[in-house]
Amino acid sequence: MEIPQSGGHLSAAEAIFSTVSMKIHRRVSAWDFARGQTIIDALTAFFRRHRDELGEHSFGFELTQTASTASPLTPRRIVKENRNGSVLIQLDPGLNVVAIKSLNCAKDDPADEGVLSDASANSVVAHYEGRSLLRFYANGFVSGRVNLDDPSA
Amino acid sequence: MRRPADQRSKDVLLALSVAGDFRQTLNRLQLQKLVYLFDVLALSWRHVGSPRGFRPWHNGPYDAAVQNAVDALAFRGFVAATDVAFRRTRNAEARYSLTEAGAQAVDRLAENAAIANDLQLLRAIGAEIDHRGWKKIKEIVYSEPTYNRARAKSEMSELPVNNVLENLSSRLLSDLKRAFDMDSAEPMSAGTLVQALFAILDQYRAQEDRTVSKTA
Repeated sequence: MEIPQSGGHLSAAEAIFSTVSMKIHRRVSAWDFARGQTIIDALTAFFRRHRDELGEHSFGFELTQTASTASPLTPRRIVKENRNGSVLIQLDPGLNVVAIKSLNCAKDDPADEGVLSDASANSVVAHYEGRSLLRFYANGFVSGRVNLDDPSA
Repeated sequence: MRRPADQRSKDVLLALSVAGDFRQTLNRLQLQKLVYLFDVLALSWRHVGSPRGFRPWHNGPYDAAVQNAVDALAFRGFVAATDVAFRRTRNAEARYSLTEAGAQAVDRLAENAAIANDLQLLRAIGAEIDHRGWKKIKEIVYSEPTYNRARAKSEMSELPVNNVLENLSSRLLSDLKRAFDMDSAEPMSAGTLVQALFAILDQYRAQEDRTVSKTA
């Protein structure tokens, strides 16, 4: 006997399975899938809002899921922290800056996909590649891309 | 086969304990829905079924044994009933919470590993409901596929939460887990399974809302 599954629920399951947060959770089991999507959505909204200020530069962010009382992330802070070479800005779930980690990059050689992918060992890294693309790495794997040009993406 | 009230006593105690963790008192229909979500997810959570007992009812899935159990537990002093009101002769309303004796009973029950596992599942369900708001428990249950299907067909037979084929949430999660486990760092955890079902129900409701607004 085959009981038909609801098409609406199947497409909902497919949609959940293809979320960035679920893809990250598949690589980093400690990443809380449900709460993680909120962080992804907040970060995406942040970059869509501030991409004119950040421009076509490459910036890296380590995402954590432990709340802190640190100060909030701002475009000005991102630019300031990266002025002497690329750094990894560690963020809490509220997009507050918890710590700054050096990526040992020269000032004129900003961290690229390889550097940030390596930096995501056992962690989750978001890579603002420029005005149009936000990429996520989890434990060395690309785990999602968000088109910052397309609000529906 | 329905569960007798005594077998449901454990479920009621654990459900009210978890609701208490989130500072909630539950009315009788919220209690029914929380225990229903537990039954729906229990199959996936422990890969072992429990006897079917829930039927679709006017206000959601309803198992008379749950109501009998909470009444009996209140009589025995394990559960406190507050805000009691009588709408009709046979339709009393109340909000339920554990008494101190009830909380102690839960602690003793949880010394058993299987019951502690049930409590863990209910806590995971409680956390997801709390994240969305306890007032949303009705729409969450109404979007659950097993109940949703029975309701759409106006079926009044018992809800097949114990049937691997007919518990549609369990089937959905089984497929999702199989896909997840391929090429993942670790197999999907029981906690993620619960989160995934709630996320699917959110997505399903959002799709339905979009469909309704398009056709309106």
